[in-house]
Amino acid sequence: MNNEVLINTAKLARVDIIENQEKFLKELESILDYVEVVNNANGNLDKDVNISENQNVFKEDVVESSLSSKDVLKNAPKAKDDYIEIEGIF
Amino acid sequence: MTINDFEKKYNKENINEYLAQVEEQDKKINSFLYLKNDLSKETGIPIAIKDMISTKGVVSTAGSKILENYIPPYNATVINKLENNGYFVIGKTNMDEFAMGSSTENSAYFTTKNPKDLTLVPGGSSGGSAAAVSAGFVPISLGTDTGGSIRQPASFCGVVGFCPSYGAVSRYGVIAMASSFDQVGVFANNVKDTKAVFDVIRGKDEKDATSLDLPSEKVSGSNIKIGIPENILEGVSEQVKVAFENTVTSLKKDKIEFVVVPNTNLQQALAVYYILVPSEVSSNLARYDGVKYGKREESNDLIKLYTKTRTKYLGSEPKRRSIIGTYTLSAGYSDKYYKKANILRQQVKDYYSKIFESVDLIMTPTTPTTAFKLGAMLTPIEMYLADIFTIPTKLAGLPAISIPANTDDKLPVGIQFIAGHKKDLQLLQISEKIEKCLQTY
Repeated sequence: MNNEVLINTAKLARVDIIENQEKFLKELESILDYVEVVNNANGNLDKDVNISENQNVFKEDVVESSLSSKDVLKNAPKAKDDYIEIEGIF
Repeated sequence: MTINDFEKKYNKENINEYLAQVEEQDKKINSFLYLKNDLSKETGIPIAIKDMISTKGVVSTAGSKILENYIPPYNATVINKLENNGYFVIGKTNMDEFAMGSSTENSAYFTTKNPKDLTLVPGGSSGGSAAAVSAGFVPISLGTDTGGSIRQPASFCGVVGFCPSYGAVSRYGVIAMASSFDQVGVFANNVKDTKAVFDVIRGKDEKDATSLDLPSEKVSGSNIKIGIPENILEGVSEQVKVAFENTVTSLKKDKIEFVVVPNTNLQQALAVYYILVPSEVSSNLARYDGVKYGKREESNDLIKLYTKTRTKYLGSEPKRRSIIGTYTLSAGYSDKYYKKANILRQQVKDYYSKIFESVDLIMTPTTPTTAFKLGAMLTPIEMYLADIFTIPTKLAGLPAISIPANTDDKLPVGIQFIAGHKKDLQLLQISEKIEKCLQTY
């Protein structure tokens, strides 16, 4: 980790850390130093770790009532009619 | 206050007096982010809910400013189950922002105090739920446990805290932090009440594909064998050491057999956790972009709108973990961090499977120390170390419970008992026996 990587990664994570850049760099370096021990891992993983051990979970494909868009849009920062309002993206 | 105590003491006539008392006394503790203002229409047992769990029509912030005015349009499955089985939600409890922390000081709202000593932290991240039970405000509360967020505050506040097997309780409607670790669990004053609530909330839910029904095998009443990982007391505080050793002595008198089992590499387990959890956090918290719900900082450029919103309304720890997770999942580094961590996660899972071939439970301290001072200003790594005994079980999705030890000292010490995957019912059954033998309840 260095300043350039930090700025780039923060940009991807959509957070601006300019004001606390020094502090973040120091903290992240110490965390990454700490987790470095995983590089001692030997062996391979042929499939993803499955913690619940559930396999092939299916359910009947039946139509159920869903939340009304009116209720859901109450939480939108800005909404108009049945839509969430946002700046144009084109 | 147990469920039984509540039922004896309160009824329809005096329920609002009870509420007024809780409201008054919580001014000292600050366990609730939100408390209902009228209980006259409620029936049943009051339960406090960690603000990580969605409650229909009641603001659910996850301890974050970004969700300050978020009112879920639906209930989490656990809330529906409780309300259909004689419980009612009395309020929402304080927590570390998005459950990231071990002291509840990362809450974006205020700090909760430890009812046993107001100068100490209650632990975290479910600190409000632990404090509410410890202070006698409610007989039971729900928390969530990703790396120890139920067991650690239970230990600090002197109550029972139970984290079920991964999948035993539906996560539908639980605000996500790290989805392959998050699990809803229970705080109570005794194992009996813990089990009563767990029996209501557990079970397969179509809305959570990782949820499952537990097999209901009984353990034989006698011949309980508990494994203690070798050198487990290395580096723990004197008080925890004494409480642990006294617990072993008491349980031996009750003909419980102890054997030493190999320890897992704790430092390595912590490292695995602090790669995998931020990785999942960076993905789960990407949804807070200011578009669909939660707070928004306006900008005429969409990327800037996302960035300004997240910069202003997310706290330091969520930002730190989002950046770390973005880094550990990025091209070039995911082989080095994420994949290696998963190899080790599988090895920890295999380690536990092997141990549980020969013992019923594993016993460890819940935390290396008793509750620390408010405002101790720990570094992130120091804060992470508070969870060193609770994190390994989460890598394997195992059920574990913290039970208060019998201690002469004023400050509580929790002892952790861990069982094999899906052995939750056996764990609770043996825990009742342990509690009786320790006479802590």
